[in-house]
Amino acid sequence: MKALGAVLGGTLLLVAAAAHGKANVVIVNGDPADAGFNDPTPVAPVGGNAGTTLGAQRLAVFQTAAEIWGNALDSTVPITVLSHFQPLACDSSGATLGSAGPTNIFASDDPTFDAGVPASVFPRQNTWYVSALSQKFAGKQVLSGTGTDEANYDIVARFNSSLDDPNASNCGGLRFYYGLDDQHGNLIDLLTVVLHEFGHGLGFISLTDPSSGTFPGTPPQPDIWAYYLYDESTGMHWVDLDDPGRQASAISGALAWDGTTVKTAVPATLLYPPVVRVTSAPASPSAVGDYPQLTIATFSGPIGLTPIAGPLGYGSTKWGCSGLGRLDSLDGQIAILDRGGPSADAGCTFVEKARNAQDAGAIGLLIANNTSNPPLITPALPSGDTGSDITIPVLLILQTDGQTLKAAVGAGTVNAEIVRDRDAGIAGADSEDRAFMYAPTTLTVGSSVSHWDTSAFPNLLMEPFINSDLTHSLDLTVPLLADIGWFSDGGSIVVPDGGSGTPDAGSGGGGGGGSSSGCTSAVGPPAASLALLTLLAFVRRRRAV
Amino acid sequence: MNRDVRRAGALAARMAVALWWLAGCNTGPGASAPAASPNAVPSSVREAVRVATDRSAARQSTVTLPSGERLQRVSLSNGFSHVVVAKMGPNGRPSISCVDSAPAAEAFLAGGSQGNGQ
Repeated sequence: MKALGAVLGGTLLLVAAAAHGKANVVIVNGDPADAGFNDPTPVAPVGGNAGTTLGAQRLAVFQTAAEIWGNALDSTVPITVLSHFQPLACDSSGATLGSAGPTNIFASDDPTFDAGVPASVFPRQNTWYVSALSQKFAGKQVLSGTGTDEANYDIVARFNSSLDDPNASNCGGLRFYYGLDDQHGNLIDLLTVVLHEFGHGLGFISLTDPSSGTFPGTPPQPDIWAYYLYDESTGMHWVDLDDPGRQASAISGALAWDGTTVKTAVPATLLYPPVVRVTSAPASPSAVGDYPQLTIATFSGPIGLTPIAGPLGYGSTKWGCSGLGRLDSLDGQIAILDRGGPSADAGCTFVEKARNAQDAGAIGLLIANNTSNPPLITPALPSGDTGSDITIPVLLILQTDGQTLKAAVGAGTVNAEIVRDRDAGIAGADSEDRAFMYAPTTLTVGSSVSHWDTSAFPNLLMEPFINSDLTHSLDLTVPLLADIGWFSDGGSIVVPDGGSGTPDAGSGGGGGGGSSSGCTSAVGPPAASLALLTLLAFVRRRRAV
Repeated sequence: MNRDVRRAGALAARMAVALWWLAGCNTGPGASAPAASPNAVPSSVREAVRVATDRSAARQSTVTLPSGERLQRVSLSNGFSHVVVAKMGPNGRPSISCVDSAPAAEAFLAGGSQGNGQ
């Protein structure tokens, strides 16, 4: 209570981050003494996080997220994030990990302008922008960034300290990983989650109510996203649709982002989807065809446009776990192994299967799922294993596809290949390189509109599901923020490396080769920036041909 | 006097529209979805998401920049928030989803996982 009083007294600790970035994202520690970011519980440094108390490690993760974002954006006005690490809801079903979002939105109200007054600093009039971007336009701090009123800050963030309570079994075993090195194993990588949530606060958010199609404000006026959200079925942008039209579009399954910077970055970021293609199976002709429903292990070797081809071979021990003995030779074959093991406690990790298949000579590995619910997951590494020795493609396929292929192998020779399917188009974008937004046709898990669609490949930071194969890259997020107005006054961005249709691109890891922060900042005119983006995209496309 | 009356009327109209809009916001993006069973998910997470994504307290005001440019401002102390929810998968790996409404959270927690696992 005493500590809370101190906070209410306004003694908030300001922690500056990203001093060297183009934008200064300031984490404001809003927690009382001995709790949250000030929790004095001793802990050992982990994964590049040198903090020796629980609170210090939490704060270091937030500061790292602030630094990554600060290095990626441009603003002369500090971006303030009032941050809390406090007990939030946990129960047997799961937990709220945290929340964040902009606390204010602004729109230029031009009518008060008189003749001779300089034009608005806002790119579009009567259009809502989040406060961090609005203050960038204004070049002036409109919000104080101080005090106890959360509306004085650009972003408010709350994360759940209950996950660290050793007695909080009601959180279902969910735990944060406070390392900064992405080696989170079965833990929840806090840095990835914070990067995602800050992304919403910085402008990756539609302010239109998708349930009604209504714009915000009185009178209602569009937010900046409405100019870029593109309804594929009508060929119209949201700003040109009426409320019912937007309402329908939000659940159309056909919503895309029609912004120049994103469209330019898509070919360099997203990949053609992988496919397992059975080219011949004389004894089982019905097995011939494509098997496109699969996921790539985070530790997989590369998959390119050049097929990796060979006969399929079902592992002699079925599961490929070391405890079951050595696999018979799979020399030159694409191995099939079953997920799990002969019993619940006799299985092994995905990477162990991959290591054993590779040691047996396999040129690729298909792991057949052992369940239909969920039909697919992304095989990932256990904590402490880098998987850097795995060079062959490692894919998880549907349980039903596994049954089909194993039966075919049992009947005779089956020739197959693993390749990226250029004919399927870039995963997560339309033929004009507009990236799809998440607009499920029925209420489903995850929130709609304010996320990329889940068809994107590799997985993106701002998808509704925060996947464990993300790599702290900001990927397509920064190009979208550029479209809505960041960098509009001279900053420039560089698209992530590792693009997509390149013959050997896309290591299996869903990270797909983004740079550590996704973008770097550099001074230069927007035209030069776009030219660079265009050139990169052109080069990558030429390489893909 | 007439001018003041007109101003008062305009203000009242604006407030009415504001209340209507805020009420609309409060329905959340999942409003058009089928009502979720209240027993499908224990209430604490759902309620926490509902509170975090509630926009009913939003207030609109005006700010003037030094240049004279007038800005409309909508403030919401809770923030126009998204909430990250998680559940443990059957193989000891978490599934994580970002939601903007209580029904979406409930659908995630009660339904199938799309996150990664092992």
